[in-house]
Amino acid sequence: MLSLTRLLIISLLLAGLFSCVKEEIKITEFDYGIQPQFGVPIANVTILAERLIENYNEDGLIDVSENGSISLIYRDTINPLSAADLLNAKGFDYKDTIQLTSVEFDELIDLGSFTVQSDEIYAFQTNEGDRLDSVRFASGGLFLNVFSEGTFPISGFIKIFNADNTEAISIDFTDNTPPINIANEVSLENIRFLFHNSDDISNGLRIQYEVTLSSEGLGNSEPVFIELGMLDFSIKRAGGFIAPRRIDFEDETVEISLFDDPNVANVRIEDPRINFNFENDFGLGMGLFIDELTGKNVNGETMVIDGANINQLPPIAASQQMGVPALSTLIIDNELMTPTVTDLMYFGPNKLIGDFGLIINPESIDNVFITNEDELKMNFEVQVPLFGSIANFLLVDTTALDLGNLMEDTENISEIEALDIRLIVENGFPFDAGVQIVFTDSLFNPIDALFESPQLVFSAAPVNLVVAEGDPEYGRAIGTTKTITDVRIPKSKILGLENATQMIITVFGNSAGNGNHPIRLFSNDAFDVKLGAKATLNLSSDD
Amino acid sequence: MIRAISILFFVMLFSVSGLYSQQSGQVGVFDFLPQSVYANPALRPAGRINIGLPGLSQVYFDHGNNWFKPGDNLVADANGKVTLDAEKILGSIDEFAYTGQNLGFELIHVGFRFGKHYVHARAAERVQIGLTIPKDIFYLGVYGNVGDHKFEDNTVNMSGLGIDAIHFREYGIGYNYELNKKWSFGLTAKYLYGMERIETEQSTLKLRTDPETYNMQTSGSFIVNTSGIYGSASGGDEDIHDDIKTYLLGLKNTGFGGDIGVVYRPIEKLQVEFSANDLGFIKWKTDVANYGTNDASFAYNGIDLTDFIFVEGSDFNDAFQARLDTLLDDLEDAYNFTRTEEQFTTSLNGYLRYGASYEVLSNEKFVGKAWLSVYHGILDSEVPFSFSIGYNQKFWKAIQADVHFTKRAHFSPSLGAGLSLNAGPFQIYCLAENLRFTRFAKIVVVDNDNPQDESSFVYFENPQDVRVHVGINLTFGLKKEDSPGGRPMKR
Repeated sequence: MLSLTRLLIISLLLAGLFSCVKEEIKITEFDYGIQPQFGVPIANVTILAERLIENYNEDGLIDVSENGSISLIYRDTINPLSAADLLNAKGFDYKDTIQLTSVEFDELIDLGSFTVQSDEIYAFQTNEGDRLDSVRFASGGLFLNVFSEGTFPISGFIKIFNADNTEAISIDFTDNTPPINIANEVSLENIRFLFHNSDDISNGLRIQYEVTLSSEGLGNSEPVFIELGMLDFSIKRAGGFIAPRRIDFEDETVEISLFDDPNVANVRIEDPRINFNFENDFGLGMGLFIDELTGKNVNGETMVIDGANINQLPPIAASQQMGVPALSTLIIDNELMTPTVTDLMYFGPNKLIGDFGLIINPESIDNVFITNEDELKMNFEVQVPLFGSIANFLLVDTTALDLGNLMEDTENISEIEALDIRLIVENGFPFDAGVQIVFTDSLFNPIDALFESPQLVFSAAPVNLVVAEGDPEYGRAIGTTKTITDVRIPKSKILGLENATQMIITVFGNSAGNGNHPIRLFSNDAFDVKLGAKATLNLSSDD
Repeated sequence: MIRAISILFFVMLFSVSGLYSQQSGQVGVFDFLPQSVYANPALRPAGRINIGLPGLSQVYFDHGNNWFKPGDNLVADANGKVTLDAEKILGSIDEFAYTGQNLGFELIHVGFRFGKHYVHARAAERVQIGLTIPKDIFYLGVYGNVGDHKFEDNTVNMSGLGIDAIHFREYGIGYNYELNKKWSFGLTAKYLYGMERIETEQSTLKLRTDPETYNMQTSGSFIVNTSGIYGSASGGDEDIHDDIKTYLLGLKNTGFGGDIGVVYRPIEKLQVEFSANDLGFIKWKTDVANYGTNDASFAYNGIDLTDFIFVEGSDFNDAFQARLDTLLDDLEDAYNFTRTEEQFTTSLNGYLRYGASYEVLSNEKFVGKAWLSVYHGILDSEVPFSFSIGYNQKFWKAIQADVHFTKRAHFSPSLGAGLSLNAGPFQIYCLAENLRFTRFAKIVVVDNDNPQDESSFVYFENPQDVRVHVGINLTFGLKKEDSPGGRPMKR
């Protein structure tokens, strides 16, 4: 048996043989020696043309046709024309005076009473030339005033008769206490007058009255004044012949915000329209006559088109049935106007001012009807189809910039060596576009820019030029163009933006083909953007 | 920086891969050691009575790291600037990077032989921790998801990423019967008491990055089951470690296992062995937490601004925040961070062992034999294939020494040795699979801002397949067994 001592010595020898620190590695600075690159998607957005236009064109409407083509509509709604505006009825104001002669006075004293009668046809006042058959009132009142300074009691009646001799209204009156002052009123609600129309009188009503004076002896005979008139009336319905007349509209203005930006230049719109839309409740036709159209741009310049250079427009249809309005749209296109509507739009007017007149019943139709609920609703609009070309458009926007957090984070994240921003655009719009972002200080002194020089980043989608130019599909985007842009932002560049407080964003470009041929924008044309970032980390530094 | 490097080495030291509960390949050859029954319960230790010193009879240490060697991977210049050679690390990994550590302490071991029978009883505390990292994760860290390395189908394949850890106590009773000179049979029945467990049940995660848009998409599944972890991590009342008595004896994580083996001696000097070891399971019921999802499908294509791109000011901020919140909710739904409490069962890492030995030198004082053994895992076991061949020599009855060559899957070949010294009943031993374990690299980290501030770490120079058994036993009856029989002749 080996002694314990020998065992221990053997063990130590064996341990010493095999255990030793092979090497020492002293680290004063550690370098991971790797520069991994991590890519993450940041955001994505798909912008449809219709949505883009909606956002950009807040003041206008968007019209999408059946095939999806987009038009911008700028509209001015004109105050509707009511029945009262059309008829301009004034009613009547009948006055008469009874003055007894001496013989009549004596008869009054002798007999104790004397009666005076009158029966005549009196005209209901409307516009000159109207020959109404009837009028039914919706509201209003008929007042009768009889007054006299004389001392004789008075009694009597006054009646209005229709053309068919039926009694329309009858008012009795009496006053036994001098001075005589009688004021009566009856409602005209739902009262119908049938008028006499002849060579001598139009819109006539037969007014008959009888006034009896009473006497119990001597007295003072003074004139008796009779007044019969209409108060605050409205016509519920009227029929007959309404004489043609003109109602003028001046300075009706359409705001075309598309041209508010003076930088929107060199825009040629193919086939724009100036439309007049009518919704006619009246049972009579009308006509539109344009006196003058004036375009005014943001610089204050004007372009005037005289009405004589605009072809006659078709009539405005009459309602054929009560309660069913007739719709009419009168269109002025390039063929009806000289210079053309395209020329007018090329001028870039942000206001279009119209002076025009409505001719009521231009064809002198005899039997027409109107009711008090009838209106003529109308608007005046400019329709701008997104079909045309634009060369060298330029949009500039300035926005405040706050990179404080980014600066702080960048200084703290020392491992980020560089940041590559990747922009992937699938452009389904028929526009080439470029963007430049310039970072400036508070005095707008440039500090840095996204690109060294402005460049077209998004190429236009291919467009259909195979069909004829008049074809609705001409100029339509028929595919997409994909562009991938990488912008490297080294850390030094990020830190250099420390003093940047403003960011000037400039978007520029033109329609496909450098703006040399028209393109057409459709509602489902899409612009898809994907934004990603690739961070290159440098884990070499010892921090 | 010091902290970062410290963490790195801490992780490497104590992070572990695969539950390689495998003993040293030479254990079965050391018949002086009562622990030889671990290799095959049919093997019979030389001592008649064997008593392991409590807590010291076997301390087992196993560290494996197939991807990092300080001397190779840390390149220093004259100024003390040390660069990590990432390419070299990548070159040393085949499909997975394994980092693992096992610790075992035999609490008690008692065995005795009577006639043809040998019975032993033992208890051991075993801790096994493993971390498996697919190579694609290393590529991801070195190159990023859109760097110079092209992932297959632009996809980082993280399938197999897993952490597995277990701490359990094993109570075993073994019986060995020598049928005749040719055959011996043995089996060990074990009662298993589980204490902590982390198990990666499923791991098939993948991350695809579109090379053009950087859009990301995850898929696959990842499920982790734990027991005994949630309570202490959450700091709540469920911490099983608060009550030491409950922790040591009162947990409900129980299971059973066993070893079974046979030894056959076809001819006098040749011995052939076969055993199935560590067959067993534990059912985990205490402080159970399950996390993960069967469907980790999630796609991130950036924040979709389509609905509110034209909104300005605070409305945009609100809409953006709402979209962000929705995205986070979707992410949480996809990855299912909610804890469930489903009990689960895990198997031990069972393995089969085939051994053979042949006496090449045999006399009264010296017995030497050549041997070989092969291990491999069975079913879902993570025990890798291992082959060892060596020579074992006994000197008198006091020394048993061994030298051998081992090749274990995923690790480079190694030269191992073992030594057992008997001084009377007192026995001390040390078995090592990889002699390189004795050679260390000392890493000293100096704080540049304060050069007096130094931290140092020691790590294996070659950390591949480091397995060491050390222990102290009391063995009795060695001499009697080997003394020639009969009465001395008298002239």
